[in-house]
Amino acid sequence: MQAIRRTIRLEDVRQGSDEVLRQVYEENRDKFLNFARRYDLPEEENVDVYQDAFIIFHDNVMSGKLETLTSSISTYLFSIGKYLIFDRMRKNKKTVGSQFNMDIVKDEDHLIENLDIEEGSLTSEQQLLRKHFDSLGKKCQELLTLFYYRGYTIQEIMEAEHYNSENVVKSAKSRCLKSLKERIAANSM
Amino acid sequence: MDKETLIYRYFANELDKEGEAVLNQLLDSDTEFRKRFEFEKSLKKVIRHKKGEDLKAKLNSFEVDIAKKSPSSKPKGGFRNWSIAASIALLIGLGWVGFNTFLGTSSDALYEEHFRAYPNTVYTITRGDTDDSLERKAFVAYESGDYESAIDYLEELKGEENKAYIAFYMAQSHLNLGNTEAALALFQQIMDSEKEFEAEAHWYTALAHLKNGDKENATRYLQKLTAGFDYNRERAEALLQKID
Repeated sequence: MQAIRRTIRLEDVRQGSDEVLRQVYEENRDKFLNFARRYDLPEEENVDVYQDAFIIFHDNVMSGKLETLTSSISTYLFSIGKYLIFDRMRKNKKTVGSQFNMDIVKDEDHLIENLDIEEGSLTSEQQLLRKHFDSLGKKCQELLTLFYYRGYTIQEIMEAEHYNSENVVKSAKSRCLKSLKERIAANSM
Repeated sequence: MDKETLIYRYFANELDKEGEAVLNQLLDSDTEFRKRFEFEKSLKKVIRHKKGEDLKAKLNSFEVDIAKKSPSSKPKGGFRNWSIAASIALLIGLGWVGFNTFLGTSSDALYEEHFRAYPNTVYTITRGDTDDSLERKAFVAYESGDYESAIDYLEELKGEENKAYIAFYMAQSHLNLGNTEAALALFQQIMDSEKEFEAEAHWYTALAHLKNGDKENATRYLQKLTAGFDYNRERAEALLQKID
């Protein structure tokens, strides 16, 4: 029963309905906040960390990096959250005191080994890229998002977006990239 | 593999070890290729960033809704906070209704479905807290799921002061450990005292009976709960229908 429930859930998340997102968010929120309180961060930051962990989890589901769950969603959130908390502590130049239980999710660390966790802010060039990406037509934005964010293959894009052939997708993608580069070049001149 | 295919496979998560080596080699030796690759990688990051921002806005709107349901965000809200947790649990529970009708339900499954450890609404564990009290130790243990230690500390605490919540959280800890009989005895005390957590004790007594496979007693306490209290009324009514 558990397995069925998990599979359904991950697929549901991938479908991207707000209702499912809200449910997963609320279902794991208290558990996560209780867990996060073990570490030495101000309480108000814990919600922030929860959201960041949630976003990373969501990203990895959407990008296909996380295809099947080998543990509960909350365990993934805890593992990512622990990583983020320690990262914040390092940045705040705080040492992790011995009273904090570092082992609590140690065993699950392998869970997040293959996930994309690094966030990092955008460089000024990337900010420019972002600005011009936003100015692209909707069709281009969708196509590039499917390819770069969702990790779709050309064939999958063809099927999802009802293109006539893979070649049409390929040339559409090249045009979108070209247009993006041109806009950036025009801006920097 | 040509350059085009290399880049394509990289972004489609289809690059094998061998391809990865070729890719890295090209990145070192071919500036033009490197530039192109970095551009597309940046694009990926930018889209991810954008998606992250969209989602963050959505999550913040969820937070606003959560805060609306909870006018007081202090953990000492006791009943009120629990009622929020209960309504969230209800939402989740409702999602399960279809699933369970489909599968049929044993009382143990009903218990698993409805049981949620009661949150710590008594003691706020905060940062830089130097308080070394038994109370703190008890709730740190409780929150970390170390119910054995929680019981020990609560037992000790009971010797010092007799607050209504002590018996309740001891009962909770026992229930979490699967000691339904010990939990039932403590819940009975709480119901007899007619003080704080009386309604909650009815709910958890019903659940504990369910865990024991005793549908008759579970029904009895759920009926008492719906007749006498507002706490978890909707969930109790829904559960009563399922037990039938």
